[in-house]
Amino acid sequence: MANLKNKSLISINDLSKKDIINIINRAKEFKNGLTKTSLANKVIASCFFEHSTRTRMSFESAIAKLDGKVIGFADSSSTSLSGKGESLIDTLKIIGEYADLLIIRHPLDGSARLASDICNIPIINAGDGANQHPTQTLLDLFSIEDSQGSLEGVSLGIMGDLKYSRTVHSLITAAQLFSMKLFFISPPSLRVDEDCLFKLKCSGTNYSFHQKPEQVIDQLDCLYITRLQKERFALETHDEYQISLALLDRAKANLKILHPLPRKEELPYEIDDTKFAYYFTQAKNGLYVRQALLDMILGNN
Amino acid sequence: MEKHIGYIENGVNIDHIPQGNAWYIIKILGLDKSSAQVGIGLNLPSKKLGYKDLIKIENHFISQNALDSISTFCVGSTLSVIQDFKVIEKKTLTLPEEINNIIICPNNRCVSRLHTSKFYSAINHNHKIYVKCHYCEQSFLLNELSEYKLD
Repeated sequence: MANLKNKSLISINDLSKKDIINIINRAKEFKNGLTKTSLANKVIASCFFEHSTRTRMSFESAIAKLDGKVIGFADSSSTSLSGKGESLIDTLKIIGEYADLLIIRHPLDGSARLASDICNIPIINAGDGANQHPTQTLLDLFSIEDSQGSLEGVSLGIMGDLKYSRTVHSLITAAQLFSMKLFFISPPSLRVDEDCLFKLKCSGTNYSFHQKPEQVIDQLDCLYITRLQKERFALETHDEYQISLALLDRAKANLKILHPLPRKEELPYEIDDTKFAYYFTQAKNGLYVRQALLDMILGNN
Repeated sequence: MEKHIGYIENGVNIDHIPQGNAWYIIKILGLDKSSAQVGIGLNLPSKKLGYKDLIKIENHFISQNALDSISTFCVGSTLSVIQDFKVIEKKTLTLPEEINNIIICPNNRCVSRLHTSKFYSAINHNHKIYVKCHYCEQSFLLNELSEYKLD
């Protein structure tokens, strides 16, 4: 992509390593206090066809900080889409005429790509079903870089549901670009799928499988935890995928724990007060990444 | 058996169609609703495929667009153009890089089910042909697809 000006951000797969580095560098500037009013007189449509309070507020806060204006809705129950059965395609076309940029969250896979095909304005994908959520991946990468000083060669543990999690798939895709060493920690039934492993092999990425976090905790720079969805284990319990203070005794001093949130029992509240907890900073980093993207795509530079 | 379908003076032969796929080609080319005379062979013995289908169409030529559309169902088949009972052109059909509005995405959460579909073809690590959905970004093996848009 090289230059993001007036481009859409639909999938992490559309970005090169250089694109990612550029976005991270701009996000860093915002984190270090850069203020801009580059969206003055711009109207941004924030269309959440399914609710996602944190993602939506992070985007809308980023817009406000750049002096842009927001129109839109927080879930489709308040729109004529549910009541009058308006077609998604017509709705997107019309919104494309009202706004300078469209942020879309929609439960169907591929909906953001569809929006970018039919609208004449840039689109930012804020989550299309089980497919992509590229700003989450970018804020995850920014958080790894920000907490470790680099992305290159970082030892990254990824724990939880590695088979079905959208967040994990995108993170693994991006991690390959930066020669990270990956430690997969999951029950055997939720291991990374074959296609994903094939890509890792092709890219020469160093990876290993582990059943318990204590097997690798002393080697990790970052530990990325995702929720194990209960419905996938009717009969089993998985206490071993829960972080504890005792486990962290053996951690490296620079270890940071990341989690896309919301959390469940895998990440107890007692971890919040340790130096390893980074997940709230990670969430806040989302604001800087979204400011960076909006500024790069739509800003008057 | 093959000879009973008859020779054509002018038109096209599509041979070595994977068994069972002649039907899709007939539907996509609209041969069941046209005035063209069509010879259809089903389940013919084939050294290469075991069994194959075959279609002969009299006084009919296939555009590149139509060829791209049917190629999803006859990768490796041979197309012969016939004039005065002679083969004047012969080619092996390959899958186009982009397949538009033929495949119904097997992912039932995919937005293309409400819209037109678009797939990209490629070869996977097992040397099998797979197609990747432009919208939901999921990949599927070509020979495991089961639903198509035919009208």
